[in-house]
Amino acid sequence: MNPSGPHQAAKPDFKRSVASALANAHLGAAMDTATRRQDTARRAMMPELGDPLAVRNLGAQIKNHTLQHLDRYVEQLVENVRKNGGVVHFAETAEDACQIVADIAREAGVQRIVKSKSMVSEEVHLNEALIDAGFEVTETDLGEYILQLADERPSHIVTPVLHRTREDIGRLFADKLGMEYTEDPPTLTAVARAVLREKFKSADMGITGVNFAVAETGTLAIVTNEGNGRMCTSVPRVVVSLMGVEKIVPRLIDLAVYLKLLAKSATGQRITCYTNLLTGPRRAGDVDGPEAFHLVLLDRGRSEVLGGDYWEALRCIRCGACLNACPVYRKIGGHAYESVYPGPIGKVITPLLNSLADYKDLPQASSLCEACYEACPQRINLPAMLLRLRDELRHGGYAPLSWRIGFKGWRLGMQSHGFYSWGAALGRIFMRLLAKDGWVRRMPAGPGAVWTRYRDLPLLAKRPFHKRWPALKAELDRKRREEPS
Amino acid sequence: MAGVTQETFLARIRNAVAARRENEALPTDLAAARVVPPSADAIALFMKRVTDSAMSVARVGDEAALVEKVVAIIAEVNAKRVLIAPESFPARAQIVAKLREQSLELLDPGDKRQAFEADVGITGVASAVAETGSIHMTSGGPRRRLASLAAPCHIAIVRADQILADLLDWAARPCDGRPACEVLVSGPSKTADIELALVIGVHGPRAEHILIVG
Amino acid sequence: MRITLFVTCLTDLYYPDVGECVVRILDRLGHEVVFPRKQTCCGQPALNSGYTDEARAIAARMIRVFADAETVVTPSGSCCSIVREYYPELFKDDPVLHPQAVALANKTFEFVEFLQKVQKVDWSRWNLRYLGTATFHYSCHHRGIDMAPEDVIGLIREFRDLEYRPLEKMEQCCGFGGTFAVKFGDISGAMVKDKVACIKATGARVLICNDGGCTLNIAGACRREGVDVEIRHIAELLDAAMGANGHQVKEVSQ
Repeated sequence: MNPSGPHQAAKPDFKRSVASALANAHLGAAMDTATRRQDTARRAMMPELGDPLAVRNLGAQIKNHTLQHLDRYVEQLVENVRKNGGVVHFAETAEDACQIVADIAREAGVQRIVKSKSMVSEEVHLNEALIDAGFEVTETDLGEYILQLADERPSHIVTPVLHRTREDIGRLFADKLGMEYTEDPPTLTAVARAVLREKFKSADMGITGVNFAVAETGTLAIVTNEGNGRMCTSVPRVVVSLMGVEKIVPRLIDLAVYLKLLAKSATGQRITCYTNLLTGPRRAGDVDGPEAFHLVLLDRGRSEVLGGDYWEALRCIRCGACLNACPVYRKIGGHAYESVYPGPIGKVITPLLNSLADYKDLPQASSLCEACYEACPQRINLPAMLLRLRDELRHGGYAPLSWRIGFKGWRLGMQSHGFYSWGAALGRIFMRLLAKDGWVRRMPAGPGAVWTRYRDLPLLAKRPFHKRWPALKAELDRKRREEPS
Repeated sequence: MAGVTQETFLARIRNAVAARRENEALPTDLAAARVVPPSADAIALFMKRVTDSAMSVARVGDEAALVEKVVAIIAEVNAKRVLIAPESFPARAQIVAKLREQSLELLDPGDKRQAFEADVGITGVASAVAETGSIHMTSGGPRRRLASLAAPCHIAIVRADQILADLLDWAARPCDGRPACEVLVSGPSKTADIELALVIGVHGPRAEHILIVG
Repeated sequence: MRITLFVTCLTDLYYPDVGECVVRILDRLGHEVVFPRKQTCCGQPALNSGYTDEARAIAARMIRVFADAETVVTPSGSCCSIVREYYPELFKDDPVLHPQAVALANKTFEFVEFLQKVQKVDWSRWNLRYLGTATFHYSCHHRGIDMAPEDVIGLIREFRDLEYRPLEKMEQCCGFGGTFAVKFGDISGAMVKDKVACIKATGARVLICNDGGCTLNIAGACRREGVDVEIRHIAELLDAAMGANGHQVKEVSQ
């Protein structure tokens, strides 16, 4: 089963998908180059904010307040969207969301749908549902269009086809579009542009995601660099926007703060080329714009997260900065996580929005280097959340017996200096049996075997520091007595 | 009916909110997020920022010079079909007259089929922002969405007094009855989806020309 | 000052030389160094693996052992960050231990942090010299204690005749992560291989690395990959240089 395929019927198997990712040398190289480039660009651009930390803290405070009063802001948003002629729908599950959109399309007599990028739509598997229901759906973001041709899932929140080379994409286009092979990005882009331009012209419905929804005005902000967001919301007669309920911000002025943070954190751009603001369908007397506008609010586990210990993860503005900073993501790429949301944020929200049982490996697969926390424009303390999730996993019965016994033993050893010291001495004796020239090359089983797969293990020191201390102290005392004051 | 009712949806959120003991205030002072002080030379910064973002910009002293510049750009891109909405912007009448003189086809940006055939679209703006090098356009009334979107080249005519310093200034302006659609354009259409290789000109215009008058 | 040394279990058992160097340096700088003999571990391996109860028990013990300290200095950034970032959180529901945890967090410093930010040593009087090429790996947990790479590189640059060679991907995690290295051995292996390749590319003779876990990981991998580089805690270079008091130091001896 292709873990990156759209129909995820099989249970996630992280260890297997990681093995497959690590075996792909090209993937590692591509991820290394791309993530470092975006991470470096972010670091270069953020200082333009003057005091980036202060702005990040502001972003965090605004979202905290909003989340703590989310019901009020949802009500305000709904009221204002309706006031401007929009229709609001409420989806608790993925099935709800897909059904709602299919119904809207059916009732409006829609046949051809164009989509601008929406992670939430991937989360609910919207495309599959709509295609199954007989609609034609075309992704219009270049990266998403490529994925659609390849029948693949995105591997990054912002730049979805990082895992594919230009040669891959060239072959894909030649195969699926019947064109002569080229790997030249401008040529490939021009071909996609021409295809998608026809789709825009003939589409009945546009579907978008939402970056931010402004409660005070009922305005949805959709940011892109390509212009497909504008096309999807200006040309078709029906527009549907899908959003996670946590994307609300109170005021337009708050939107300005997030616009300042988002692109800088994502790709190191000052701002994206297009910031599209939708406030309902066309007004009476307008000559262009959609006749009907629908907003679909999605819960799907978010309210549960909001009421729990990990609510701060809902501050996420989906910039991907944590992905770009993460040394683990850099090695395994996005598909290995088998989730719409990979990387550090994904390790936290994927188990929370789905099931901890299904994704029990994700919170463990981190060295806790805190690069994500350092990069996050919303100051989400992902490392602390990972630790908490690990504690939950341990108490939830997911901890192997050998580890539980191991840590009980460790605790015993650390609680008494005698045990600690003797334990170390015994350990050294055992290791000496395996060591050569002071190093152990191979340990037979357990954690030691895993360690020595990639590195040697030195022998413990013959005389640990705590045994040397008395002599050291005596030496220093003697020196002090001898020194003239 | 697919989905749930508003009350059911809100009930879950209310329960969650009730579980939260934190109660933080909405910040009222967003000054820390200001990048460009109100006293800055917004026009100079705006011109620098749009240039950094691969948009061309020129400032002219009067409407006659403006018309000349527009005509020059149109000639440069070898345009035959031009989109101009019935909206008002500086020197509109003179520009239309000049283009008719040169036998250029003036297409209706409100007509989807025509709009996609155009070579260039000319619009005014509602405002502009120096901090991000953005022009702000709105829909509704005599304005047309596709005029700044459908053609591969877009010419935006900006009055110097429309240029604001910071995005905070743009967001703070009252907008009685928001238009159905607004856009902040901060660069030509582009993508880096293929191996992070930059390609200019995807679904929006590949060339943005900004002309500042005044 | 009276400084209480928190040597850390890894340094105690694997790199005791580093502990000695730290003591001698602090002594030369005029401090009285005390070493509570009962100390064992800060609890990091258990805490990082989600065994919070076990970690809490060991942390409580550590708080007791260091209760009388005025200033605590440790040569390991990761252990320092556990005390500073996590100890108060671990005991947030304990009215007795929480204030003690906070007190300990407030008086615990990483060694270089102490030299550069607390004591703010004026190195010009010490005539530090190291003849040779050196590169530097930035250990992740320095992030948690607000130590930027420049905070350590600044000290490295105080050594005359030291040719500093920047490490590519200096801030990228080496893959140790405590139990991560054995739980996700293949990812960890890929990460340390990357780190070793970058170190090799500098051609430097010495890698300065100020965390016992990173050192254990990188040293073992360098040896496995056949990359000949000495890995030293900056305390070792400092101790030799201060001890030599201006004489040229070519090689730091084992």
